[in-house]
Amino acid sequence: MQLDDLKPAWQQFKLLSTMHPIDANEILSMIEHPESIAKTKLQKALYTMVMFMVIAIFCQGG
Amino acid sequence: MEKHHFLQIINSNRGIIKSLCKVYYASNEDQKDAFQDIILQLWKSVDTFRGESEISTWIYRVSFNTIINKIRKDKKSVSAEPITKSHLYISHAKADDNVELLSMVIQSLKEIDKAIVILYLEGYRNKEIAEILKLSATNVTTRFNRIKDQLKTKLKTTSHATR
Repeated sequence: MQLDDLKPAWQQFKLLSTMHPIDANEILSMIEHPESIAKTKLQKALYTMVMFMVIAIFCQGG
Repeated sequence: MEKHHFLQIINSNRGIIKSLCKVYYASNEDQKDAFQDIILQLWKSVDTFRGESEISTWIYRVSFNTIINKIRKDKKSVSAEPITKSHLYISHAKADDNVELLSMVIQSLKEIDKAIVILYLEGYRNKEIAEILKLSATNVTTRFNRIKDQLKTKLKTTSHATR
C-alpha cells in the first residue's frame, strides 16, 4: 500500500469530523471573551496541581 | 470581518479543524482546548488573510502553527508511537479499515511529520507545504522522503499482519 492510497481515507476522516455541528454561541463566546478560556485553563492547572500535591502527601507515608 | 462571516467560515471548515485536533490530541478535553486556541488564533489573524490563497490553506496554516506551538509550550503531545501500538482515536467513529490505518500511520509520526503527511494527503505540493509550515522546501523534501521510507516498511508489515 502507498501513501497515496490513504488520500480518500483522509477525506473520510474529515467528513467524520464534520458530523457534529458547531455551536455558534460557543464560537462567539470564544472570540468575544478570550479571557474566560485563559481562566478555565488556569483553574484546570490549579486543580491538577492540588490533586498532585494531595497524592504526593498521601504517598509519602508508603 | 463580520462575526457572522467568520462563523460561516469556521462552520464550512470545521472538518479540518476538528480533524487536526483529533490527530494531535487523544483526550476530548485536550481536543476541546486545542479547538478553542485555534478558533481564537483564526479570529485574531482573520484580518491578515488577504485572499491570496484558498481559505482552507489559511486555516491549515493557522491551525498547524497553533497546535505545534501549543505542543512545544506545554509538552503535552502524544508522542510518536510504534505503528502497531498506536491508539485508534477514531475507533468509535465507525471508521472503515483505511481510516483506521490512516489513523495508525499518522499517530506513529512526530508532530511536524504528521503535518507534512496530512498536507500531502490534502493534495499540497512540497513547496506549498513548506510555506504553510514555515519550513524550507529542502527540509520538507528531506523529511517527506524519510517519512515515505519509514511508512513503506510499516505499511508492508501492517498489511502482512492483517492478512
